[in-house]
Amino acid sequence: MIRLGAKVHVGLMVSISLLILGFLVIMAGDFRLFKKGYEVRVYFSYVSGLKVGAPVRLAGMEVGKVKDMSITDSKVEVVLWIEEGVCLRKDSKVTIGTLGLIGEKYIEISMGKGERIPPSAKILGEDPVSVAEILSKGESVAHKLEKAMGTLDSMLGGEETKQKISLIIENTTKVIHNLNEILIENRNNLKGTLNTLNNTLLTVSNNVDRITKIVEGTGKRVDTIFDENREDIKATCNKLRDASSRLEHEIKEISKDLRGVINDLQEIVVTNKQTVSTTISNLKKASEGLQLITKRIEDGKGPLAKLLNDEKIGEDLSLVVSDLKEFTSDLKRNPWKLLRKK
Amino acid sequence: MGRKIAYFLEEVGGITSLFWQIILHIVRPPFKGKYIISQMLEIGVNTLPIASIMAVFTGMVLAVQTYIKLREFNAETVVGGVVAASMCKELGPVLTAIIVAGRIGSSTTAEIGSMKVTEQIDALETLAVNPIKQLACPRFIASLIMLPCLTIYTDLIGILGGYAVGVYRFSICSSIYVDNSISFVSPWDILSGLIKAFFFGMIIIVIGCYKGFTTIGGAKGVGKATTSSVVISSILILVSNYFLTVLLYQ
Repeated sequence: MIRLGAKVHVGLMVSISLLILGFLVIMAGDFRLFKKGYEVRVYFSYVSGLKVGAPVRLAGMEVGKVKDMSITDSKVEVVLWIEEGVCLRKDSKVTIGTLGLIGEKYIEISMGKGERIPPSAKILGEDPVSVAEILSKGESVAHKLEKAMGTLDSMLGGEETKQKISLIIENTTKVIHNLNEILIENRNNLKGTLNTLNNTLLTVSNNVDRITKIVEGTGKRVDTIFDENREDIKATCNKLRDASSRLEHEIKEISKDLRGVINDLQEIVVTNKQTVSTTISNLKKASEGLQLITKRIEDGKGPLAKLLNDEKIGEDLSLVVSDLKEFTSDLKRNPWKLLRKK
Repeated sequence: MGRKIAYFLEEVGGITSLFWQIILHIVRPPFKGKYIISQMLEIGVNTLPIASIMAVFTGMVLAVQTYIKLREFNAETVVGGVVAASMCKELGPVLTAIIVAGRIGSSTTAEIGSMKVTEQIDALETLAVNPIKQLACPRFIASLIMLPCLTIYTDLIGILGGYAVGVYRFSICSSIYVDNSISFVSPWDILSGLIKAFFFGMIIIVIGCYKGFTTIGGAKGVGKATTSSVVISSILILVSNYFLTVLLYQ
């Protein structure tokens, strides 16, 4: 009994351990034992440390594994195992990506469009940028930077330059100090000035307000005047227009008449040219005679001149005239005096 | 000094000749089936509880330690992979072998050593029973079979311990943990661990039997032989582990 029990125990343990082993190996291995799929061959120039067993992702979803890798002439052939039902299309791009912290590599396939790729097809993969390339670029950049820094250093490094810079800094400090002193000394003045300026500005701004208001008011009033008398103004304008048109008409007529008159005058002048010229010559003679007479009068020659020039005669004459006036008026009032004697 | 070197060489030679005799006697009938079964019970079934306790706590502590460190890099999910890989590749086989060395190696040496000092071995020889065939071979075969078996258990139990800590204590998503564990371990990792366990089984039994057969000096001698058996087999396990790893992962 004991021996049987021992056998049973041992058998149980060994068989369970074999089951566990099978389970672990299947879990750790691929699921390919139970899944159907197909193979696709991809060619890369550089695989960046990709390993057999690395996951294959289609649009980020895991659909297969890297089954095998080998070097053919000038290219690395990567055999991908892809689950059945997952289809790759003609313009799907195959790239090598990096997963997570440890930098595990995987194959990324984009969805793409177009025809389906048949099983065991050959695709050209897109090569990743090699780390060495990036590093060499970085190195050259670092080299250039170092050179630039060296130049800067040599520019600033000289003892003379240092002294100059320190001198400049010292002077600047002094200037700033002086400025500060000036400011402190004139603080009150500055404050007063600023206050005055402020007040002035305030007044100006107030006045500006007022002026604006007045201007606005005037404008408004002018507006209202215009509004109120619009009809009158219009009528006046109309009348003016009428008057001017009429005036124009009149002027036209008058000018016509004038032209006629001028023509007549011209005719008269032409026809009486001779007469006119004789008349003028007569007139000239007459005026010469008159001139002679006036000259003689001025000289006081002859009775007429005496009559005109002698003031006493004038007075006498006026006496005579006034007597005559008196006489005539007396005669008018007493006509009988003509007939009767005194 | 010279005596020590001579002693060392004598030991090496003795162990090699014993190993060779065991191999010879294994392939030669009669096969002692019932002795093998009883040894398998002792080595495998009776060691399983203590090995399980060792494995579950090893897996748990591994999860805690790696989680604390990996959290700094925001890579907590890698805990599953670290636990699974280290259990399958190293800790499962080596710790199981050390436990078996402590438990079975010592008992083998003590049993055979006390038989030697009480001259029972000589009695067996006079009865025309080969002591190696009678005492060493069943243990050897049982050890070769049961050590890989135990290792499979400890692998799984250790992974489960790590899973419990990772998922229930540190709230790592279960599916991510499992996925990560799987992605870190390949079938070859598990098989290489079993190959190691196979060699560790040989070491434990050969050393235990050798120390037993060469015991001298009564009860005190048995004690000394037992101690040196455990020490030597443990050291040999650890040293050979390195060379086996190098060999298996080249």
